[in-house]
Amino acid sequence: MVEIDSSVPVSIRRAIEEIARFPTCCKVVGPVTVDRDGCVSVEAHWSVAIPNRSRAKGVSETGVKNVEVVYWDFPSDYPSRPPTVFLREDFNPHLPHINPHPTGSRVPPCISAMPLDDLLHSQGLGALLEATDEWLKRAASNDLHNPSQGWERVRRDSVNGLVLTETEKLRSEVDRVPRGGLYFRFRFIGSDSAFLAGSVQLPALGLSNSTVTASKFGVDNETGVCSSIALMIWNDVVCNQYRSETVQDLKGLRTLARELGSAEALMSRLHYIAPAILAHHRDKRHSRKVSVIAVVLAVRRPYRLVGTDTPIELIPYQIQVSFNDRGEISEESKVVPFQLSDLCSSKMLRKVSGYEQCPPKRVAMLGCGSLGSKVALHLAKSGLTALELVDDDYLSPHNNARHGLIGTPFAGRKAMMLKNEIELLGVSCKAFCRDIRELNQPGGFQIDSSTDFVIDCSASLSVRHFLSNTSVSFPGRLMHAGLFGRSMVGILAIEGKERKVRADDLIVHLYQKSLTRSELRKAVFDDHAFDSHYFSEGCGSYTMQMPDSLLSQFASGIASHIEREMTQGAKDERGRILIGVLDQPTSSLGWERVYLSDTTVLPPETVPGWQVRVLSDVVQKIENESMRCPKVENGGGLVGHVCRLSNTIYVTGLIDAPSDSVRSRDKFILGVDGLSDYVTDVARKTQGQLSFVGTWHSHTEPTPPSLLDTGSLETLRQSSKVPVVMLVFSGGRIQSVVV
Amino acid sequence: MKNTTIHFFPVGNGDMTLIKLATGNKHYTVLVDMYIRKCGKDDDDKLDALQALHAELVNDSEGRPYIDVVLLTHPDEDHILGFEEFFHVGSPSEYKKPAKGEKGKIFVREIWSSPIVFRRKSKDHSLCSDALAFQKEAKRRVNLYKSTKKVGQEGDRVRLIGKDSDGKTDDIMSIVYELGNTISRINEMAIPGLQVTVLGPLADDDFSDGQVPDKNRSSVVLHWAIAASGSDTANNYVLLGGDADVAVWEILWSKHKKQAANLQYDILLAPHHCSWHTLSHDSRSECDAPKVSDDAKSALSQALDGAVIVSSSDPIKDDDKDPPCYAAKEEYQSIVNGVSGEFVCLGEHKPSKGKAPEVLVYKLTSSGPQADSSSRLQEQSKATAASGVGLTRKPIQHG
Repeated sequence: MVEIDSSVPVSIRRAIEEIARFPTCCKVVGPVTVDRDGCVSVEAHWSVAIPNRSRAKGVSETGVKNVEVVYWDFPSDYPSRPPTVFLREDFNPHLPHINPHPTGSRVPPCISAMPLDDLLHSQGLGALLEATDEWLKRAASNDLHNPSQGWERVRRDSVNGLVLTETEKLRSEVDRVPRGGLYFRFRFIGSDSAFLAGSVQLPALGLSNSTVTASKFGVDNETGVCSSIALMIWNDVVCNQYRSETVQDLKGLRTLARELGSAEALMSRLHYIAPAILAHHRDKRHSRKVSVIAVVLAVRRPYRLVGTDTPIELIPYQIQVSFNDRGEISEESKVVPFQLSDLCSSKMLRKVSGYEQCPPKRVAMLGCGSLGSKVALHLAKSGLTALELVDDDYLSPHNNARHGLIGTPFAGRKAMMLKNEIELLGVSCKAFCRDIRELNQPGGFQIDSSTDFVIDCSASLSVRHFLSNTSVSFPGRLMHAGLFGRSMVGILAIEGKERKVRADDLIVHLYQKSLTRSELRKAVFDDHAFDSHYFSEGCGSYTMQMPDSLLSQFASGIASHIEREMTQGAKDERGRILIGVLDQPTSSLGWERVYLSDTTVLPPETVPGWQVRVLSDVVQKIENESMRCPKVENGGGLVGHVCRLSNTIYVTGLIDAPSDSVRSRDKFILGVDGLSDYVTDVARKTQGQLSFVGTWHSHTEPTPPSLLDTGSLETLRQSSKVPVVMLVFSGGRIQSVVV
Repeated sequence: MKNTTIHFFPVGNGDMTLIKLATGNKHYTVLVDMYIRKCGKDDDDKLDALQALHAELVNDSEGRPYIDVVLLTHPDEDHILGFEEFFHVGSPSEYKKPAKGEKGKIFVREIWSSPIVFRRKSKDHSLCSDALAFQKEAKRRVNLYKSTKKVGQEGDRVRLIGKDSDGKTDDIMSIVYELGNTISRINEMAIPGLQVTVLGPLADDDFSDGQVPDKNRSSVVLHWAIAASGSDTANNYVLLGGDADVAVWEILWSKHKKQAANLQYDILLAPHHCSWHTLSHDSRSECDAPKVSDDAKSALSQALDGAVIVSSSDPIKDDDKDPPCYAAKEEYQSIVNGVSGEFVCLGEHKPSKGKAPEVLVYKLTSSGPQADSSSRLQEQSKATAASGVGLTRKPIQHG
């Protein structure tokens, strides 16, 4: 057993014993002691299965020995922090998956893609031992990177700078031409030694050396942003030599470029760049001078890079140009690697969101208030959408309580401010600071004709009226989102194909549902939800009080339902309404989904001057009730919503026939017992939004409505203050009785 | 990322080799011969070959454990035992779901067989019931091909290794891999870098002694050139010759000595369980000084650096038993000694020092074969998991 000093903490002692027991660990070198910092370094001899062909030599082609020393450095607070794994100082540093380290020091293999503290705490020390073992075996068989995993990018132990660009476009230039060089505008912040933050800007300036003039260099005195040029060079050589970063000066960069077959191209381009920088330096109009240029070596690898589908590796450097006596760029000019990262784009957002496989959609967002802005931001961040935003309002200070944006001291237009923010994501976005009711109207504005979804988040009844009842036509499927009763209930109504179920149908269905569901009713018909609040001189703001946290919960739920619709649901032709109800004690949000098939629109003569819309579930219930006893006539009352602005009657539900009703083979007489009380209760519960709108009955024979029917209807109408509908189920279908 | 591996199952004096070719993060499996003995309670000194095989297989979308290709080198019991009981035979639609708790029968997507399945029964050619079941299944698939003239669905596919000397394969040559052909497809899927060269069965007229080739002489001999997972360049060479005897190896040497690379290997499965008759015409019991055939030994000596010769046999003792034959082992040992290689007898392969021999696994890498101990490590992890520690996985949150 290995000798372990008594001062070694017990947790580390146990770990050492686990290492010693590991099958491929031949021995742990003792005595193991604690060093001055309280750390414990354990030297373990590891047996490595090197490929059979190298066994005689005892060392693999990649320089891995059949017995390697593995150092396990335990921090004093192990297991709060994981041990670090090192190999001998002269271990082959030119293998992939080695962590950055100073040359000549012990070599730290990168044994796991997962951070070691997570690996340790998730799977235990054994997982680190296995990962190290696997790493050594793969190092021995030169299998640390391979075509199916992808080419490992050059390992850079220190980078000083982060430069953003559209790498895909840079690579497409390399794809287009076998060999070449291109100049780009390069803008950055940071001095020679400080961290450089910048961007390589597209499109390219061109390939001609004449584009490089002194005017390309300069410093913006107000922002401090430096302008310079970036040079990308490439050729048709496929380079399959993995190497770690060693470049420190121009001499080193030239050596690297020679290995890649680009030395001549690099030096001849620098020859043209030098006079431009010199001229800039001599120009007395500039108090601050720029001496940094960027060089990107684009290298073709034998197979695609890890995590990408391209074999083109971009290796970027900044050259801090200094000149020799002859006015040439000095070989000693400092060269520092920087990191080149992709600018945010919808493709990147889709990938991070897990929507890589989904084609993006065009969305018009009507209303950019609290809910609209948050839903729009979620959709933009999913990468799934190109957006058009419509809102004519300004972002007022009190909006900050819940809006997705934070306003500036200068009130801006909500739609425009949101557009500016979304464009930073690299997502296509357009703003219309217009009244939604000007959509596709003469003198109004037009949304894109290929729009897939129109989302109404305006919470405006007049907009709902406009979208439902006027002759406005727009592309795509309409969705309507809104909140009720201080964010106790939220809905997302999704219209059926070709508007055969409309958002207004789905919302009156919600009214009907709330008759029997008190939690819905309380929220939907809460007349205390809205109030005027005074944040300024003059009129108050009519708004609903609720905290941002609650609103966000609904916004994220609604956005994720929309995303699901975009990625999976579009084929379903039915209309549907998602109803989210908040359970206050637990703050949990439960969503249910109700589907409605096509709404039946009765002929215009049913109630002259009115449109009668019978919801599909009502039609279904009448059919079921009629077919239950086909030998006698059945019937009952109808509940519905009457909109006097659009002159529309929505039939939303049935009233059971009162107990004194009479059913026979050729007659149904609707009774009166309790009917009036029931109807009053319906109106009270829904603040009059639902009321008695007529009757229905069935015929046992497929006969049209009778004279008796029309007579009854006349009587009904005369005694009622609202237009009344009479439906007859006859011959397997619903017909309306016309006077 | 999945690895390409080769697995030698210790099954006593029998052969059972599984090749798992990894490409596109999927495995394509080839089982060369099988010898699946039933394991009872008292068999703890034996490997449970069925369980070990199942451990390497995955189920298809229908829930059936499957193998892409089963190759029978020749129809002897020690190369086909267990086929009838543990593998599905008949049309794919007749696959029966296993009873609860039982393993499903293994579904064979494509069969590779020598044309010996067409031979009539003779005194030199009697078949055990597993071989008969295999023959019947291969014939079913061939007849299906004859009637439809197209390659069938998975489970109906068949390829013949070698042309039949009596012309019985003349009308189905498009599913025959002839002598000298290179195979690069497994179950109709092209495997990057795979080059399997058909070295045998030899044609009847290759043999000069005029004898009708027996089963051993008609053994399938394949030279496998295999690329590492993710690579498309073959850099692993495996020679699998079933029970091919000395006459076969002599002929192969005469055919290939000018192109000896055709016989080069990193791993050789010693033919006929390390039998003397692979290397010599002389009987050890009847002959005072049995002579090793130089040509046969040359054919089997094309070992690359570090090559391994595997004897799929019981432990080899210094006695008169054959196979495995101690003198043959010494000959093989001399071959691997010359290349700093290794001779491994599967019956003696017990790296964990348990009672039963263990499966010998090599990972096939871009630098050639490499001993693979990961399965052993996993076994150990499983053991610690069973005792309540190790191999647990705490969920990691996202912040």
